[in-house]
Amino acid sequence: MSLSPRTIGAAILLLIVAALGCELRDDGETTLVLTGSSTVAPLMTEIAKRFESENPGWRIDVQAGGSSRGIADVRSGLAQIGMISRELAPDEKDLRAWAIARDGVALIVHRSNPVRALDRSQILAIYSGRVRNWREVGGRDAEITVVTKAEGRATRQVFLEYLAPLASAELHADIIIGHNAQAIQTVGGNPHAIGFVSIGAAEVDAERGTPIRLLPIDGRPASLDAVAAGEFPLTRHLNLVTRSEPGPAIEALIRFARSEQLHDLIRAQSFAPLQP
Amino acid sequence: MLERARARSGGGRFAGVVLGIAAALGLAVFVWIVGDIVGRGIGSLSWDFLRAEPLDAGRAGGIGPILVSTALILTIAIGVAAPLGLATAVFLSERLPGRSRGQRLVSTCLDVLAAVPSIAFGLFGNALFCRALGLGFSIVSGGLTLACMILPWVTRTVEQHLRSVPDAYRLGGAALALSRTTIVWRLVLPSARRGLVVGVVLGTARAAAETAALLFTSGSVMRWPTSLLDSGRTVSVHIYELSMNVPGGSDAAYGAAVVLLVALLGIQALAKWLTERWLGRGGEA
Amino acid sequence: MTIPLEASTGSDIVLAVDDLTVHYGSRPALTGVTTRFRRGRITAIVGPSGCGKSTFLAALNRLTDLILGCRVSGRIALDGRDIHGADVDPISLRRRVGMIFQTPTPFPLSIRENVTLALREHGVRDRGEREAILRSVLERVGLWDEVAGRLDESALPLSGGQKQRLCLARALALEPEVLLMDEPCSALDPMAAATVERLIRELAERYTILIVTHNLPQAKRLADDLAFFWFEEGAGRLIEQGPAKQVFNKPTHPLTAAYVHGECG
Repeated sequence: MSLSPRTIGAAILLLIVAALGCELRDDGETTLVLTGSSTVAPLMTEIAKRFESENPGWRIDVQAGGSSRGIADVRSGLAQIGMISRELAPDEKDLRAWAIARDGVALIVHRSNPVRALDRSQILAIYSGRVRNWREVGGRDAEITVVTKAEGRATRQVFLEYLAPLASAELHADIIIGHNAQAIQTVGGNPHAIGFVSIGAAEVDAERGTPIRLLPIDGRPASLDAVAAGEFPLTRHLNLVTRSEPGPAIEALIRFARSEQLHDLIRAQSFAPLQP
Repeated sequence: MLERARARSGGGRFAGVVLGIAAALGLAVFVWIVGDIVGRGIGSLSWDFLRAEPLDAGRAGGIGPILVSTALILTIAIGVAAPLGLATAVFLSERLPGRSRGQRLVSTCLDVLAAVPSIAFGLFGNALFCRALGLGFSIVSGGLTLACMILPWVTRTVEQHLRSVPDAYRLGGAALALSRTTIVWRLVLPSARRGLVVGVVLGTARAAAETAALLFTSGSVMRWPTSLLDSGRTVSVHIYELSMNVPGGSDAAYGAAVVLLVALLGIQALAKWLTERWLGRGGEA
Repeated sequence: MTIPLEASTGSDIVLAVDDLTVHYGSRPALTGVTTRFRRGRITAIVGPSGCGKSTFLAALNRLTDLILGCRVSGRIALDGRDIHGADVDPISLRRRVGMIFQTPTPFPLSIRENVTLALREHGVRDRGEREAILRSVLERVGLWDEVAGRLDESALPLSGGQKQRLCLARALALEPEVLLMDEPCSALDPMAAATVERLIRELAERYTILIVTHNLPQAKRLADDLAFFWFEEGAGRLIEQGPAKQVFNKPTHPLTAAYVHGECG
């Protein structure tokens, strides 16, 4: 067997023909593309799946890529709907946001940490870097490892709002991480660490045996139930984003995503529904 | 003789110990990683895991559609990168004289390209294939993006093997009045077959492990693909999404990682078998 | 220089070289070579290493074209036609001027393909014809009996002497007029070298042969004519050329005398 130019040429030709064949595919489907927040994407994937099964002839592609990607793709038209895990920023008011669920941000520490609660001033002291030892907030004599989310992460935004007027640049960090999973891994592996993450993710991992504890905030237990009941102070909305005048197809999906029949699904994806 | 000479020199013995430790460490890390992945992932594995659709954002169900999308994307990537890389390598080693300006220019470009972080290829692929060419988030876009990404690797590997083909074949061929085409196709390329296989295997492995370049090109849809213009996520993207963005998705992620590991080992074994079979007849190493 | 130009008649001359100079980059490898080679004779080209002998051979079938930075000036005529002429294709030139290298390098193909590859390329479409040529050239180099049973096996495991004879056979298959040989025996063991040398003598009846050698006794045994090259003023030059007996016994140039008597080089 030897490679001839003919063999290779034939292979390339075959590929092109195959690609063209797809181009000619007959689709009488209504197709919607959603891009954006990788936190929202798994939830929307499940919502879309249920929507598709109830509405034959629809096809909804959900792509993860980050909130800012979602904004950009809706503006450019690559996606009809964006997903963001925060509110619209002032310079994004050309778009329209539609809340579909809520998420809370919880402080987590290692399970072996004797500290059971922190009040706002203590949290502020730790996250502004003024308090560097657990002893000063009622814990063991050990230096605090402060785990902070990277700039641009939605949970960081929510957390900063709670600590206002602390500026983003003043937020202390010993370790900077990106995803919830990283933060949970880091705190679960360090008895002296503290971090803030999405409540849903923290609850699931704590139940599955990761040695972390969710701290109550302002006396409210950090749980999805508290978020759903509207009692938890650190919450954010998960939003869908469209152009200001979405068409009927887009509105149909958004209406479905906001409907009460999805509450079980939202809870299964570790988020809180809009209404309790 | 040689063995004794080696053993007698003290420095040689020290170097031997250091090399031995380094090798053992390397092996230990490999065994640890593989053991960890297999240990955590083996529980999720079953025949259904390979066939079924993912459920509950990937926590449950299987990875059937993801395997299909992965295979399609890799096929496109290799199908485009292999012939293109081969042609470029032939051009570099047989047409452009060594150390000429053109040769250096192309080589430098390839080396720079090989060092570009894959996310940059993702953004490039998104701009070119998804938007400019209107292919959207699709298996084709992802495959073509990966093809661009692995092209420099394939090209350089093949080129190195082409350059190691003895000049005596080229001169001997020319002295027998063979045309340049015949010399390249019948004498040089067959001797560099191993290089092509190695290049393709390296490229496949790199492509199969890729996530950043694919998030923005082939996307992360988990449906059974019905055409090459459908979006589809690869196993690596699936692992990434499950472990980063799906709380409670890590078991399924480890299961998928075992599948990926086995598939990559399978590709290696296939390539080895192929080279040996292929090179067995009248071939040269 | 004693170049017996006047001693040969026109049709007798196969190769006519006038003022041949070869540069590698800016460095001259060979300079001002003017000579004639007569049909059906063996010319041994001798001289120390680095005096441009191999370069000279490579220029004669334009293998120098393939060497990066190599420039050739002067005139080389094969049967009266300039080989650098616009109408001359180097491929067709190399069909007529075959070459054997110092290290025998069969292609990584079967024994059969080593011979038939070039035949196929040059339009011998008929399989039977190719087989006939294969057999006849292998018989001529004395290889047929040794390899007849394994023609489809790789040529690479052959012994050194067998490899060189195979290379000779594949060159002969193209029916060249001139055979250039660059130290064809020097990489072989004495037995194999003797076989190949005997073969060269047999071939002399049909071909014009130019053989570069470092082995003076071999030159003495084989050559009708002798050409002596020397490295002088930074480049290789042709010092003396003539009938072998004459150059060996009564060299006209003191350098030649010193070389053939083993005093230098």
